[in-house]
Amino acid sequence: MSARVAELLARVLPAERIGAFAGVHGHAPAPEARPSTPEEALEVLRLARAERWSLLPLGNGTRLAGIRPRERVDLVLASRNLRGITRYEPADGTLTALAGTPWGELVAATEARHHLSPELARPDGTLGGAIAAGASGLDRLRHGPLRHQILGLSALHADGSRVKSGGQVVKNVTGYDLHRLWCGSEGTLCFLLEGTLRLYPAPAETVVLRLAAASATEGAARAHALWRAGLQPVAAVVRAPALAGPAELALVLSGRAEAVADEVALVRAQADAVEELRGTEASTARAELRTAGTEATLVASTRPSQLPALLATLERAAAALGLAPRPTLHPLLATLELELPGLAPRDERLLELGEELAGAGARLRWRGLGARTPRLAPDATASELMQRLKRALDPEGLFAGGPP
Amino acid sequence: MRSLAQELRALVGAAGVVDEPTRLVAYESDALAMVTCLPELVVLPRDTRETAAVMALLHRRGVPVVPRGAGTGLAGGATPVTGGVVLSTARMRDVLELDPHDRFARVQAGVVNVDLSGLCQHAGLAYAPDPSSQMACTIGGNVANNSGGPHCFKYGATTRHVLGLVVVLHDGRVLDLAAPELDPLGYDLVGLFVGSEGTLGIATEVTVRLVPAPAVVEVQLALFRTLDGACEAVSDVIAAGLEPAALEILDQLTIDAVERSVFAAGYPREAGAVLLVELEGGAADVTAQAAALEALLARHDPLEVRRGRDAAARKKLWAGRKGAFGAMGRIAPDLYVADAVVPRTRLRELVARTVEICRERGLRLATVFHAGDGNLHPNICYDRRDADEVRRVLEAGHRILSECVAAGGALTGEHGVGLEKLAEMELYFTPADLEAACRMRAAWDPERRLNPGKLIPTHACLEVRSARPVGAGEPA
Repeated sequence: MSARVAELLARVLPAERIGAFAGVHGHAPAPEARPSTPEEALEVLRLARAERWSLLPLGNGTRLAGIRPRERVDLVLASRNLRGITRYEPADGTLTALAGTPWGELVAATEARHHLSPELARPDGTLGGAIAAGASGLDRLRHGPLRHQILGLSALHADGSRVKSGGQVVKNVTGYDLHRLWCGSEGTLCFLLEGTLRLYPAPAETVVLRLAAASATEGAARAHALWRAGLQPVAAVVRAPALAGPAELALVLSGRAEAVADEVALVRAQADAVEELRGTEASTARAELRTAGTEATLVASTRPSQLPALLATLERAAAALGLAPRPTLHPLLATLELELPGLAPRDERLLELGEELAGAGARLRWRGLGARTPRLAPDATASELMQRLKRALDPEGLFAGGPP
Repeated sequence: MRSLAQELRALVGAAGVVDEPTRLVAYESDALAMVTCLPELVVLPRDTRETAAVMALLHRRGVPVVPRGAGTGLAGGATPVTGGVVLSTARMRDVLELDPHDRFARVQAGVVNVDLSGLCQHAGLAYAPDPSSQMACTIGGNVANNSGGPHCFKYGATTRHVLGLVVVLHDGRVLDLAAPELDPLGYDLVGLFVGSEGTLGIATEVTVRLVPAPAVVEVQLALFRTLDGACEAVSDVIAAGLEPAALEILDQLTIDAVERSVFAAGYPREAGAVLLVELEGGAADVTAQAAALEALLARHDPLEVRRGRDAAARKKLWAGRKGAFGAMGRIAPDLYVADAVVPRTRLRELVARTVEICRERGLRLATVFHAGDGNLHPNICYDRRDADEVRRVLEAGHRILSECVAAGGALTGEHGVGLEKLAEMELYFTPADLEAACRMRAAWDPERRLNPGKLIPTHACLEVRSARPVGAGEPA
């Protein structure tokens, strides 16, 4: 099959734009088409449709660990050659770029005057990949997830039509927000071509405060106390080598100098030992906070008020299963990421831990489990509606997989 | 066989059905008064369960359904152009949950925007979207239109604040997405639904994000001799990286109208524009922002700058802006409130074009706009009894939208497409875009009975052909 796919691809793409996807995180190897223009992408899509291939759209593949492998993929359609900033209007605070543009390139082009949200860990991930994965970053508490930054998208639908949703202005309610449907759809509905994002003014000052805590639970409680007192950090992160041991609460404060000074004073009024990092030290500490882990990871979210109960459940369940997760908490988002170092993805205890947390009301996401990634379980009516949307926009199932 | 009205009364009680012609008149349009059409019936369920029963019945009967909040929409979105039944959320007014710790509220769709804001204040929180009609408009209506308001410059429109929804689908099934989720479970149905103008389902419950009320707020009101002066000051505010919560402009005719009304704010006669800027944050931060803003405004030679920090002073400074639409009633009996968006870098140029377009057609234009996000509201004063004036108003509206789209802008920033901008949708979208929208819509409502004739040009979706009159009974 692969040889035939490569042979047919050669009729619509030059040889240098045909490669091979090696397969990773349970996603099987497949031939890879790397079109460099929307027109080339359309030719590949038409060919795939005629041949009844199953397509997996891909950026640079940096987020595949969080995506359940497809049952069948005949061709990977990569956007990495669809690269470049098509419009950056600093006075307007908007940026338009092709889907395969690396995130780091977008940051570099805008950082002198603007903050690009979300603040992602991997500069080599692409704009389209981040959108397809429904990414959010370290600055989510301040600016929200990526789906809130998207002003407009264009994409190729399965029938070959090039479809636009939204636009290039910062406020717009013209027509349906199809881009909200595409964002987070993991490439199951379309192939993204281009996106426009809103930008925020670059902060004049950034300070990272570090506070020691006796445990992750206490670190989370301190963050909540500061939040109730009016603190509005860009990020609050509790990290600990183990659930029971000492932890550290890091607060990222950013904005106008006076606003940051107000917030530093607020924290210092409530805490004795505060390590204050500024300048390059703050930048380094902030970059460390957004570092993506490489281990199998379980992400659990709940309501802020239910976080202490969830942590208590986690401690009990982890001890009973003989697991020693390395927790990173985002207490103000009520989210905890549990890295499980050295654990084989096939270890049943991973799923058992998840079941315990789900039983305590947590919503779960997984990374690094490959084909064993549990399916999300929306209610039956929502699930049926999602299937109808898939059939409406991709009736022949050209894009591999269905609703995430 | 019982009539539809009788069957509906059995579901929602006698007070929940309107069929007397004199009372139906109240539902013949929303705030776009130039298009009217009587519904055959109005039904007012009290909760999700009743709404589901009503929708199941209307599904069996094949009756078109037009959802309606408070009827304050300005694009004709709640006008029953194909007849059928208007489903009003006016009796769904309960706040179901207000959680100050987790900072969200769950409300029935008919809760009035300002009532929710008022409740939040007691908890030191705020519901950010604040449309001009917030004294009357409902949260469900805000969801349908993805409504904005002055403070959306900082906080974003409704879609950024909706965490969950309960939606009754076309056939009466209930889609329960009410739990406040960080990220969608699967496709983002909530994000897709917000702004869908009643064409995908009936939202009966809405879970919204609340934000902390700012510690300190200061309003500065600058009076300029010309509209250009105010627009230039706005460009400088944005370029300087100041992040006000709101940036609003009123033009000269609006100022005149305000000064001749009960909302009179003491604007001087020679003022050609008012710029209203609201700053918020911690005490030291607001003081620094205020000083920077005052220096910036001074560079544009204002006639006067007024400042206010306490609630009473701020209310006084906002009074002219909040009363602007009401005050325009003194200029002419009717007001066509247009809504378009332009890139912020082209604001001044496009504002000048709207003035020219109206002048060329002998129309009186009073402009109020959300300058910070490039959202223009050219308000054309007219008399609906004058057919030629109505024609010129519509022509001007079309021209203004065409020029905004050509400049890289959008057809609507917060009012929605409704009926008003159907023709212009083809200026903005290609046939392929509209076809994709129709297919998406059909996945929610295969018979296209929900709010037919809105949002997507009729020939694109053919929904009117599927509409059946109320009296037709159930399909064989």
